[in-house]
Amino acid sequence: MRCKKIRELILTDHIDGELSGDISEKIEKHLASCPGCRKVKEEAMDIAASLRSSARIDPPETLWKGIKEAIEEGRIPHENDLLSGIRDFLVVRRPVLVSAAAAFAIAAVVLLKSYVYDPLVLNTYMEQQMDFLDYLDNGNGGADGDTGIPFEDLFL
Amino acid sequence: MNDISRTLIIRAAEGDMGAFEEIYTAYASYVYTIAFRITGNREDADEAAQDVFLNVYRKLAGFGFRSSFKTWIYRITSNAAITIYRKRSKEKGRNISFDETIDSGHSIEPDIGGIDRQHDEKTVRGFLWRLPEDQRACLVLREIEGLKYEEIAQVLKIKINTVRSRLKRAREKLIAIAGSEGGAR
Repeated sequence: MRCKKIRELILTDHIDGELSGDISEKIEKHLASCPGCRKVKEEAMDIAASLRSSARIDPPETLWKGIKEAIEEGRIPHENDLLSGIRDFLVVRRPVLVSAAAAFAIAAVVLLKSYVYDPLVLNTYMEQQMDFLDYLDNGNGGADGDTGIPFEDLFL
Repeated sequence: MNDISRTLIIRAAEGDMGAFEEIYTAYASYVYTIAFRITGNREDADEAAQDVFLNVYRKLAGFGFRSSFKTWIYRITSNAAITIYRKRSKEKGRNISFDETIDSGHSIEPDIGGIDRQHDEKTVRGFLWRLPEDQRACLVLREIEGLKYEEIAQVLKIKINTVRSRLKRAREKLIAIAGSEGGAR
């Protein structure tokens, strides 16, 4: 392996103990003969040691007091209300019921679509209505009192 | 950080304040340390830690045990601390510099005894503060909390290779800083 790749591994998996034994051995072998890569490892280890030895920091005593007060005054409700109930219903607890509800919804949409919104049905209905209006416009309607019997025959 | 018992979590989720206080006691110093290391000062760490525990209380009932409680707490903490850090940076219109925090009363040294200890503390803060917050969070979770790459990826919701590249860049930058300032220690 070349120095560039070795240094990448030194700064990540190698010093963090995430490498397999074989690769670690290869790196150690390289380090034994490469002062540049050895220096990178030493510097990275120094920084890691500084950070790893840093003190854990305790919160001030007032922190718990503030949290407890906020909860006890009811400003922070548990999220076990309607929203989490719905989420649990949908995501976790009722997969069969949810599947059934989804299938019913899809079937309802398909049926309604075919009866109400089917373009073929709608076009046929509109054509029938237009034919009827044409029929009336051509003097076949009853609006003018036309009975369909010739005028002279009414006096015979 | 060790995971706590399922029973304790359930009791706290049902509103048992004693159980919730036990959770607080078990995790407070972990949460506070991460919050302090990411935000860089006590005021913001206080705010972040308070947000974390109020969020935990609010969401306990929906926890669902789908991930470890420890990972869940780390995730809420990292998010809260990064959010507050970004809010502060935005308020100031730029990134807050290390020198600025050291010089101003905004940065209060934690109560750590001994000159050597205080020097080490200043070194640690000097390192972390010079990193972008996403690299800083990765480094804190790795070096201070000792998380594995896979755990860091779960906590920050990023890919393992992103964890690697953030750690690599952070360490390259810190080596350069240490070199220019005469060593890490």
